[in-house]
Amino acid sequence: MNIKLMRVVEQVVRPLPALKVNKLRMRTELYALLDQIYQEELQKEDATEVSALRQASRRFGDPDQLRDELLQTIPRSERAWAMADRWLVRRREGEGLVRFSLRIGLHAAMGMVLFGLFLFCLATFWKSDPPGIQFWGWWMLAILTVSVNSFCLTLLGNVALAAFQREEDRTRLKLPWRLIACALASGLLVAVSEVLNLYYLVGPHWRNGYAEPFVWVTLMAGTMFAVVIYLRAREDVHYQPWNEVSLGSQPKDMRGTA
Amino acid sequence: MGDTPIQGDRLRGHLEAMILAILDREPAHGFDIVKKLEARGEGALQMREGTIYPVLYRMEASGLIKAQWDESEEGRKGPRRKVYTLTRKGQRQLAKGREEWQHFVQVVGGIIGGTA
Repeated sequence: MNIKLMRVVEQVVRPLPALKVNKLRMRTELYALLDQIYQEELQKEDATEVSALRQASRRFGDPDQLRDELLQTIPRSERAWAMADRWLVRRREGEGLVRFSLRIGLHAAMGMVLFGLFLFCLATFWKSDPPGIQFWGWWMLAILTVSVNSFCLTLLGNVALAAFQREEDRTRLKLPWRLIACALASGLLVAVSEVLNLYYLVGPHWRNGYAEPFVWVTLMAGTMFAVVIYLRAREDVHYQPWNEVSLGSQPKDMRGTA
Repeated sequence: MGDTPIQGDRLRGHLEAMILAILDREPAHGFDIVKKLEARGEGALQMREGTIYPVLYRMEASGLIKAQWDESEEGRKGPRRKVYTLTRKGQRQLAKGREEWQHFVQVVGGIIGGTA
């Protein structure tokens, strides 16, 4: 793919508040169109790569106008969803991995607090039966475990993703042991959280022991983690070339959000 | 006066109907549609080629056309593209658009004193 043509397309598409899959479709189609115009310009007499690119960009249209027109085709619900996605779970350009993971952990904690407030309002005003102190103790533990899990899983997920390498149009697992170690660590993390919550809720009444649920949750969560990371790595093959396009003129908070 | 290019809002207002008419003959992808519009407009239609896609997306969302990835490698050098085809709703819309256009030319042409 021609990086200069990709940059023209990326100027139009990257700032759009749309779902990743929709933006990828726009990129692919606009790139195909621009590439055809460029090839046509290159075949003209006395054409150089520079002049062909200039002519192709002119024929393609003004990026701002094109972006405005594309924006009108994105439903409002998709725009809202994409904006939330961009602010809550997308990594920003130049943001360190630990900082990004902390932000995700914080967002998860905030989500749990809001959900807790919702439950409280529901129980108090609708059922007239506000939850007791034991419930809130457990809820605090749940907030803590969810935010720690979100932080650690984001960290482990990104480390595990780096075990894959893109080759042309496909992805290859280069460091299998790294993926296995991360999957195991994530399984253990989730299992510890589950057992901790279980112990808090039914501690003295649980007669079957904690070893069995611990092993099962470790295995299931670890396997799920590995599968999700593999699918994500496969999906990233399509997005990575576009993520690597750098747009100097783009507002800082929108960089790296391809 | 006859050589004045048709562009901007004058073109945009009729673009959907023209695309439907192009796709009524055969399915096509974005670049093909632009080329066919230019050819049938005999050079009088002037549009920025990228602007075809917002129109195509809008028409697809309205159910007038549908798109499918063109997976065939034959005759294709660059990246893969989507091929657009007319739906039944699009065919009905085209027939309605043609009727409206005839009526418009008849009425406005009669007033302005054209060849209608």
